[in-house]
Amino acid sequence: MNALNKRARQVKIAHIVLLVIAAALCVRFAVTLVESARIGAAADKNPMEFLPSLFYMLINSKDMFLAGIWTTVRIALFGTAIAFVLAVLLVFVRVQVPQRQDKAGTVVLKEIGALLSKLYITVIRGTPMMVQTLIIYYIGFGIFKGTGMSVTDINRVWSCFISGLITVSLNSTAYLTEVLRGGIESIDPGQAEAARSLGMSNWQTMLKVVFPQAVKNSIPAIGNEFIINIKDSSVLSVIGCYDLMFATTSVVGIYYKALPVYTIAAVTYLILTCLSSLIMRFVAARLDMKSVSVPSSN
Amino acid sequence: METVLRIEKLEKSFGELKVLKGIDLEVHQGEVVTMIGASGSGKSTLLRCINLLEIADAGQIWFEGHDLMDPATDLNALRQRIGMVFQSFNLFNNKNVLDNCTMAPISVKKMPRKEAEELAVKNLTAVGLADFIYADSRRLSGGQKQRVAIARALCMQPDIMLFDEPTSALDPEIVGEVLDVMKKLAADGMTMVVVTHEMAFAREVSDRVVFMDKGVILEQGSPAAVFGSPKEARTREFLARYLDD
Repeated sequence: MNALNKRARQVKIAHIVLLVIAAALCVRFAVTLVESARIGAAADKNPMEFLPSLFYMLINSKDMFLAGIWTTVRIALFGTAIAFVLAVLLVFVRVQVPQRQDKAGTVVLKEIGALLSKLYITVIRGTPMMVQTLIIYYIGFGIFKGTGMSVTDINRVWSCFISGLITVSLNSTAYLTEVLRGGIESIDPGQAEAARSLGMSNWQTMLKVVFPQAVKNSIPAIGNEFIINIKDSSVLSVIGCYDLMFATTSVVGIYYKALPVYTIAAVTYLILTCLSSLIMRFVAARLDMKSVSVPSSN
Repeated sequence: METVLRIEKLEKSFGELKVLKGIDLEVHQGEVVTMIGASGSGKSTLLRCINLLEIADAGQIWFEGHDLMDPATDLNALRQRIGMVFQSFNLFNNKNVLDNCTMAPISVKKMPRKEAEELAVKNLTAVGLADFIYADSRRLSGGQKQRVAIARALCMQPDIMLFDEPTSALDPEIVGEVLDVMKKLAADGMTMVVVTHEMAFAREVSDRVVFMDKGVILEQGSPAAVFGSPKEARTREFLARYLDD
């Protein structure tokens, strides 16, 4: 046959060969994993080899890991949800534009609001979350200390979980505000013009026309922020928040073995993020399919 | 005839560019005024100034006795009575056809939903879209979208309708379906200001044709006068290009 067909056949053969090799490696790896897990589970002291040792520590410390995962998931989930609510409020302040009919006081208020929200976003996005974590924790600690509470009482009220959740929420608020602002600005100005031309107020236009479309367009970015929060909440371990990272470091401390345990953490984070990503994609697909298909005459 | 709209010495600049250089225009009850002229002559800007999507720099706009340029005027209340149809349709993408039509009556006029829906169905039927009431507005053809946009504006029961090049974004073969709806509207006695490049429509439907050039109204009069014996050389030049086609 001609040269083109020959080339296509060669590529096809190369693909098959690569696929067979990849499959063989996967099977080999799976067998090793199962074998290592068996050895790890049966061992009564920490094995020397990497994988059996990994499984030994995973199985023997599973309660710690599970507790850590539970905290990480809760912080990412509630943190993103709280941040979304706060970002909705903040973005309304952020996008205020003085209108012709506004009184002087309203104009000044809008300008101050927009400026302050911009400042907040700049500060949060311009500083590391680890620093924010520590500052928020110690501010809270200082405030409760000021009321004359004992350290034991403070730790009960101002727990690492609460202060960590507040940090993630406040941090995410800044990013999500920018996400929503981008969403609002990406909406065709004609949408708002049409609403205004029908006599809808600025507020009604925002609430019923622009904002619903902006949020819908922002859903992938909001999902992304959730995934970032799963990973970035690992810095909360600096204040002793019992998340997956803190659990991992604790396990390292028990066995004096680092690499296998951090590998467990990495794989666990990867599973969490991939799972979330999958859910997000499903949600996004469902939302787009809502529209009713109709034959077009064009 | 009662004057619905009166514009005096209207001026508008975008930066250095002076788009409107002192426009005077009156529109009477039931009148159909078409505005023609080259692109960039200020037709669309004038239309957008009428319902304050653009704020004019100087001049007066009186609508049914209300001074639109006065910042104290309740703009939203007046805009309810000024319908607007855009070149790019601007249907609400997050709503179906029916909700596009009922949103403003329900939220602005506080009309009961049932009443708003009945009104919407009536207007959608009038523009020939009775079968598309629950359709996703994004999936309609351009001509259908524009007809929904007209129905949507009519649902506010306006006293005047502004059309900003309503057929310029449409394929030539579906321009007719939109123009037919507009003709019917004109025949029903609606006061209309239409910015258009459809000379046949302007000639057939309008009571008065306004020719704009470089930010001023150069000439206006009955279609027979403007198309038949234009006074200005610039008007003749402009019309020659269209009528040659």
